[in-house]
Amino acid sequence: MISHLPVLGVKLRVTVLNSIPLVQFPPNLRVPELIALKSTLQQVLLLAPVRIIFDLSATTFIDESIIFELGSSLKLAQEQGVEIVFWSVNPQLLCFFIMEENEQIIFDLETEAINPANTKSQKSHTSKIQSSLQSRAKGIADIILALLGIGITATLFISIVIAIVAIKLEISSLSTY
Amino acid sequence: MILFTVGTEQFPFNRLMSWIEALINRGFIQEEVVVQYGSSTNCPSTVRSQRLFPQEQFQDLIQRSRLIVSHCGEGTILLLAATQKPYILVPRSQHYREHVDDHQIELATALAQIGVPIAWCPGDLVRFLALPQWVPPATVPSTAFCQHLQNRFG
Repeated sequence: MISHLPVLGVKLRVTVLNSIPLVQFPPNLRVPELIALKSTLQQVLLLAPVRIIFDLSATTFIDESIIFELGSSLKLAQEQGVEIVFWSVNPQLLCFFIMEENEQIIFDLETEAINPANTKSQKSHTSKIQSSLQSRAKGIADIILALLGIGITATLFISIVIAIVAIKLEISSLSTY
Repeated sequence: MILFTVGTEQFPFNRLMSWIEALINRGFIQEEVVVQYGSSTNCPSTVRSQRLFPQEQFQDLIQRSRLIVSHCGEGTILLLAATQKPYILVPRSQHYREHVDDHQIELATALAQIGVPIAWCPGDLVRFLALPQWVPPATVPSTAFCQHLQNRFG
């Protein structure tokens, strides 16, 4: 059984297979999505499941301010003897949940997902870094300016050293007199 | 019976093996499972598994299976498209060292656009198991295909 339960315009996908519900978390979990999630959870609990699996494969952002409410809702489910399991939590969100010390949630860590959009963005990010290296003119300009900079620094350094030595000699000659 | 196949790549596909274990442990799969695990090293212990099946036996398994979960290899896709069994593809990822590059992800992305079921996460597998579908092979006019290649590669 698959259903979409729209609440406040937010649709959460619920799949029930062998009496086990799988609830898909939305990409961004803010207040409207949390309200929809709580409503969905209430309806899913009517099925009296042994456990509820939450699929976080599409989730990239959770508003910190609602994490307590989320925890409370999940705790209510647990008090009814329902096991709460999270699947496909990305590493950043996992750290977030660990810091919040959500002990009532079971994380199935071996359920890593792939986000094809991330794969593309990683490639485009890499290509942005590499494009400057591919430009020969830019490379030559970098070398010339670097040599110029070293030359200026060397000139100034020698001048400063000569000035310091001269001052020290003058001081020592004055002290002699 | 559900058949899982990962092809004959030299790279393991342990991530899919872990998904199978998670689906079984959490109660989503309660029927016979057969796994062709190839180079994978973490095959679930509660299923019937074999590294490779002889061609005839593999064809027989496909015929007997209710649905098929496969890696996104080109050869396997052609084989599955010729059957009328519901199937879903799970692309290998370079990030998890399942292949030399991400061509299976690119292929899966293109296939998803024409309605072929793709599992990017174990949740997708569950949704497919709840509502399996067979997608007939798509025919693409040659002119449209050439235009697509030109747009893609210049």
